[in-house]
Amino acid sequence: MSPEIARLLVEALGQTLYMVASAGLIGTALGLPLGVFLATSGRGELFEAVALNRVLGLIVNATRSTPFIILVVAIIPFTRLVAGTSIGTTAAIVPLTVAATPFIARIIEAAIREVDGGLIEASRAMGATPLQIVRKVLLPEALPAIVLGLTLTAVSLIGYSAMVGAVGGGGLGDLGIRFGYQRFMPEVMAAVVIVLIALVQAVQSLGDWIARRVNKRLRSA
Amino acid sequence: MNALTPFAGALPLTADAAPLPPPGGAAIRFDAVSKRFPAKGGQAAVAALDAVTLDVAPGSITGIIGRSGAGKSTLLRAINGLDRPTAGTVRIDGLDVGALDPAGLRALRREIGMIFQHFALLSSSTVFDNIALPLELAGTPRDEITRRVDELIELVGLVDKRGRYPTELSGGQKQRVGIARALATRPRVLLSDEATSALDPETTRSILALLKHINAVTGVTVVLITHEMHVIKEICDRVAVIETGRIIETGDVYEVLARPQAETTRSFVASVTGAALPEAFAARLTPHPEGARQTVLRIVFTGANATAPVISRLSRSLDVDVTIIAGQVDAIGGKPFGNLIVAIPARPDVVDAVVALTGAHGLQAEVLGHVT
Repeated sequence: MSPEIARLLVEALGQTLYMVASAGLIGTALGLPLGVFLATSGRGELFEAVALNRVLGLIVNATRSTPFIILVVAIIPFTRLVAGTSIGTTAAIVPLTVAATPFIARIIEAAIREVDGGLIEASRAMGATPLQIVRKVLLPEALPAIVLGLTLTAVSLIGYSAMVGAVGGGGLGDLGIRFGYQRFMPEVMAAVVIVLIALVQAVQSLGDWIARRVNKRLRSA
Repeated sequence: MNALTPFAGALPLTADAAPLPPPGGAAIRFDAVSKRFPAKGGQAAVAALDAVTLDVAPGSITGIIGRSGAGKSTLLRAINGLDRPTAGTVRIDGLDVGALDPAGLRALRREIGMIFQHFALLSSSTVFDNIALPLELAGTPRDEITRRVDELIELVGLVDKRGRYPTELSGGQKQRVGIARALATRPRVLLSDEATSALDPETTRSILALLKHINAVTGVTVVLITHEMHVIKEICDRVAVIETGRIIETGDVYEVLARPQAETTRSFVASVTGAALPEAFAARLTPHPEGARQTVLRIVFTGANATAPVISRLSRSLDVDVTIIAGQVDAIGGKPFGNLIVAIPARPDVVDAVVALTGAHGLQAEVLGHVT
């Protein structure tokens, strides 16, 4: 492999990491409260708001059912509004975040719904406020599932990020398409695939390791 | 009882200079409390509680016993407002639970500890942090939390488990954590929701002994619900029997065990007094005396007469052959209590004479049926 290709590979890896990390962090910042709300605003729940729960649920589903490549193009005006441009690596973070947020919200929701209802009752009996129940009980108890869910999100985002080449986002996927496929450089394609596999493996292993660390349930007595 | 020894060092609980005084117990009064679930999807309206009126004395251990679905859980949860009655009032030392706003209810709940059948511990937190939770929620300063939690860990005998997680504990140890957590804010009422139903008999005994000890030391009013009469027998002062949302019987535990009135109460009582008929025998029992060879009687020994030598007197003064079928002599709250099932010849004059003689000894005899 020529030094030129190696340089491109490193640069593309950097772009991928930058996009995935940014979209993952912003998506978590937005998706966490959204997921908590979805999990706690049903009928008879802590923050009962059935109508709003339905509406947000519909929006989340709509976003999740739009194919990512369509989403990227469809929200270009929004991307321009947020990032100032619709082209480039930073601009690509916008559609990635828009795709990641509802995904994360659903993962957080599912993780929180897994928490034993008896714990919610017990904390209410202790005089906890709804917000305290979320902070002190639901999130700590759901943490292992949340960590695994966020790992899954990161892996999905790595996949999505391969598509943002369509709007000049760069990254490993874009490198593979432009050099490996369009310029008939199979060794570039192979290198991209290997780096992607290694990246996904690393992310998954890290996620599994953290989830094990925070999971106190599996320690056998 | 050896189960009490681990808590021997627990006395400082009342003596230390805590910011809150030793609380003592609160009185709880249910007045015509009903809970109805409206008719839904073709099902008729359901009354989980039907005009329940009940007084719980401060500092007492009161047991509410009933089968599943009888409404005991709804009744217990009305005390701390987890369940809102649809009619009637629940008052704690005069304070109407139903009239409280959310903040008032939260403040009240800090004075009411609760323990659960499945413990409801945070799996992500250590023993220490689980017990500290109610104090954290109340905004107690950190150093005070540490002091109080360590004191409670000692009270429940889990000093060596301080930094362990719930999955590393046995059921009995988990319930000890639950009890310590429930006591963290020095409540005046302790609610127990089938706290021993998931535990083996020996662990159950030690948990009940712990509850009794805590009641004795702090004076906290304990209200427990259970479907097991032996729990009532072991630690309660007062008992209320609930069936389909109504209190069908209430009184001192000894009185109710000695003289159960309602049919449901009798069957609960039979489970602990050892006076249930052997099944093979019960199958042969008929209510008709015609042509019967033997009549089966239950003789209940209570109070001062519990030790009367009535069987030997029956055979001596009446010349009656008495066959003992089942029986048990026991103590409830330190008072002797016996229960004997016997068979005697099925002649009306003999039966009447036996009933009269046992009555003359201050005991009760009751005809259960006849055997051919």
